[in-house]
Amino acid sequence: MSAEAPPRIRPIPLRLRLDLLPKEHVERLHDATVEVLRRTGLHVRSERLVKELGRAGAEVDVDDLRVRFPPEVLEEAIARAPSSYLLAGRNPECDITLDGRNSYLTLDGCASELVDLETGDRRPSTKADLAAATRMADAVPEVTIIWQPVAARDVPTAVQPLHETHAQLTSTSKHIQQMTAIDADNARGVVEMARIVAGGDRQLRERPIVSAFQCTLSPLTIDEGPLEAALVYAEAGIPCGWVSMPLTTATAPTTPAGGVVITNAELLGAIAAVELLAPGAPTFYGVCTSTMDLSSGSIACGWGPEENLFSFACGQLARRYGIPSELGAFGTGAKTQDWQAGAQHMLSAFASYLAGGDMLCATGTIYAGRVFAFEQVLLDSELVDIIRGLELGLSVSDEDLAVDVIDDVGPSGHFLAHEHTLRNMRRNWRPRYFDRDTWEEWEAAGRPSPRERARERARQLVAEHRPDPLPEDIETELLRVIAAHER
Amino acid sequence: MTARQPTDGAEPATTPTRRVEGLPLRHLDVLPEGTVERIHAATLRILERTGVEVRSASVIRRLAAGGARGDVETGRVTFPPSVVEEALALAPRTLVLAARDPACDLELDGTTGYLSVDGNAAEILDLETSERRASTKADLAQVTRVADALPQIGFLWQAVAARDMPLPVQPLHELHTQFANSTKHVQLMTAALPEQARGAVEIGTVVAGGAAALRERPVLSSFQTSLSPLTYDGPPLEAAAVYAEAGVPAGFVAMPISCATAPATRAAALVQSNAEILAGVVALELLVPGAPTFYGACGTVMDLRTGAAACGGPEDLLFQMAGAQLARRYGLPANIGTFATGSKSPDWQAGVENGLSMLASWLGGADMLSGAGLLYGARVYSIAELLLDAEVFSLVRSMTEGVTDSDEDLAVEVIQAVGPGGHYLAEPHTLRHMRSQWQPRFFGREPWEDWEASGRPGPVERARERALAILAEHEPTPLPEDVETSILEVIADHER
Repeated sequence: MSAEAPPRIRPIPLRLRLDLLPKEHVERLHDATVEVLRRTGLHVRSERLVKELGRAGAEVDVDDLRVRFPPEVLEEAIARAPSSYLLAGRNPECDITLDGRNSYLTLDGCASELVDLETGDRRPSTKADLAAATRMADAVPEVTIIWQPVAARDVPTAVQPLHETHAQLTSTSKHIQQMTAIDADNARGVVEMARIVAGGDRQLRERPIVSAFQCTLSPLTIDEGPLEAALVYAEAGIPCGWVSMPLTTATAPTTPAGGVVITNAELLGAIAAVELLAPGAPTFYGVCTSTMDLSSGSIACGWGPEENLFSFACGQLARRYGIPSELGAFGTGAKTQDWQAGAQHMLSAFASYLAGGDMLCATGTIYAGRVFAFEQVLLDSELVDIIRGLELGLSVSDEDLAVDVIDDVGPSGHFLAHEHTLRNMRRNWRPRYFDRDTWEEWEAAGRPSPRERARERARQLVAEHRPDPLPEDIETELLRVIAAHER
Repeated sequence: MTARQPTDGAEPATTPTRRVEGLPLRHLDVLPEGTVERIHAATLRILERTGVEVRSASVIRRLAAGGARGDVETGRVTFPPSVVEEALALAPRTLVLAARDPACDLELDGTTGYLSVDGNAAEILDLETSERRASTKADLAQVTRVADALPQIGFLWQAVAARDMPLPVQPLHELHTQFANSTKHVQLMTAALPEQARGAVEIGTVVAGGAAALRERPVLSSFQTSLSPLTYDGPPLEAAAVYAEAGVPAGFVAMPISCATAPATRAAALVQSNAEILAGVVALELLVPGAPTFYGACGTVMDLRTGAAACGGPEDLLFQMAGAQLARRYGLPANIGTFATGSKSPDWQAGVENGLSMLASWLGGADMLSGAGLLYGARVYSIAELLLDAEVFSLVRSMTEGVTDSDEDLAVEVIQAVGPGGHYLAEPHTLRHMRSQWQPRFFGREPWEDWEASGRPGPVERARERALAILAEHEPTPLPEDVETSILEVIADHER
């Protein structure tokens, strides 16, 4: 029997769902959002785009750069966003369709530092690090969408996003979600590179191997660059989502409901703006709402109950609008792979999964997204594996129920040597990084932690994994695009 | 709430901290109804055909007299489906687990879950040295005192064995030290002999203030465990009857290990676990009709490499949720094994396993979550882990409060006033509400540089410090002197 190749990607089937909020609460949140967008509106920092939005139906104040959305305009614009679409991989085995049936894990972005795989110390990240991290993620089936885990800090800032895209197109054949190109010029560069790899404009529209997202500025502000970039992507047929990252108490009201209203208003406002200017553009609803640490005034660095509530509430809202969602998960303030990282990662991942997130973002960082760690991706993949194992649920065939086997073994017997056990025991979940040694073995081995096992595996993958190669001439063309934009 | 009203310009009395925090439950059915009924039917078939071994001729005779089919020669007891259904219908649907301090009373009515201290380890991680060693009565007192101070802990199992006490009365010493160090409800899991159960009931009677008082407000409950597969020793069943006759709730907990003491498949492990628990409950209801009881499930799988209990994979989580769902099917309060990490220290693995385990018990709808503080597949107790588990409970509990949506919460006017590009830091709305944000005790939030400068301390160190502070500061309400004396007399009596 030849060994079956493992699947390139392993989505998480969305079979368990929890609508934590009663429907009336969701409607109250929606109504409050509509009121904010009607009355307060968004600050859009582009005179040109404010005017265009005015022509497209929004109520605008050009002097104030304020864009307000009459409820019927908002509703109609939101309804234009498609509820399902393809995120293609360079390798079709890595294709993903966002259709509410599966949850897809993304690789995190965009840390400016990483834990060095050899020394274990924190240091600034480079383009080579980005390539290595991408190559490793290419080999981890649980990671299905590739963000830019670390910044290529050793290349010219102006074209850094293009270098990052180059490093990733050559290091993975999974779907890439570009998050660092936040101006029209870089977005155009990304589109050019994606077209080269996809084989042309039409091929890219049919099979977008790259998607993107832009961030709002809380509260209630959209910068010119991101909105222009979103329109460049929309024109090329590249899905471009919006992510809102308010910090309650600082850039959003301190109450959880107020935090949701700000998030929802920014996302609906941004999505409506794009749909008014580029009707039917594929987009998504991205949530990274967080709380402020009251003692330091910085991001709370900790995934707590409020963050989980934001996922639940916003997941329900995104479903209400029929727009694919990207929900925050694997958030931790921990600085290493300790109890805190484990608890926060598991609680946030399972909550966002139960909330029905089409995409779960994101694996690989610690310290509130500021530091990337290779080993974290592998540990998180174990966690996803547990959720998937739970998902497999319970089959109740006669073989599964085994009434005759139980009768056969009888009271006080054991099942160790029973044929039924030998037939079925391999169906039970087995860990890759969890420690199940005896205490004595563990002490004798110097009390190794799952982190060491994961780090060892990460080193191996970075050294040995060979992603699907790009033809040499294509790589040359990619470099030419960067050079052209650098001028 | 009976907080004093300020009358003369004095500061309002601060709300006293709740002594016990319950977890509002969700009932997310992990099994489709058809699956539950297939498991139920297979369970009835097992109980009718295979039955259970009961290792006591006298108990078999009593069960046969109650309607079961017993064979003293083979030691086998089988239950016709009608007997099962009728006996199950006798069990009360709700339970009150009372406490010395009535503020710690727990009402198990399916709406609220409560977390226990886990039990029963033979070893403990020493709080000073962090090394593993055999446990003593003093250790149990220490864990109990910490638990008494934690609002997340609703009731007490015997965290560690009082191994320095004479074996026959060890459970009575454990009960004594828990009543003496906490005013919360004690669920005694270690008294599995009728003689020990009688001693426990005597102690419970003394603490409650009489037999009638104990029946009305049982400050003590108990459970017995099956021996998987499908076996009960005689004494535990007799002990359960002793408790039940005194009005002390007596539950049954099955702890099968798939591949070893249960079949390898998930469905079959559930069937067998269900059969064992129902056999215990039915037996008790036949012996003491109307006895307060509960449904306890704590299944795991065997680690194929070491042959030990794996503790912490997806099977365990499925067993948790399915166990609670089956208990609901029978209208019995559910005690669900929760937080049983296989890890040997409170590390990443413990965080992952226990985080998910907590969510599974909450979603499944466990009336009792048992419990906090064990490591290494329930073999070693750690007070630091107890505090960390309590933090996870606290986080999830806060999440269950949901998003309140009053106009004040939605803050549309505040959003309008601040406008795009502003900030909320100085808004009166922020000052009014910011303190209701959940605050972690053990999650680290300090900058990386501070963390490195202070030697990379972790949550475990913070939890240990907190435990030491609780032990230094927290004085549980002591037992009245005469009660203490009476308890020691009971123990002395039974030691003879």
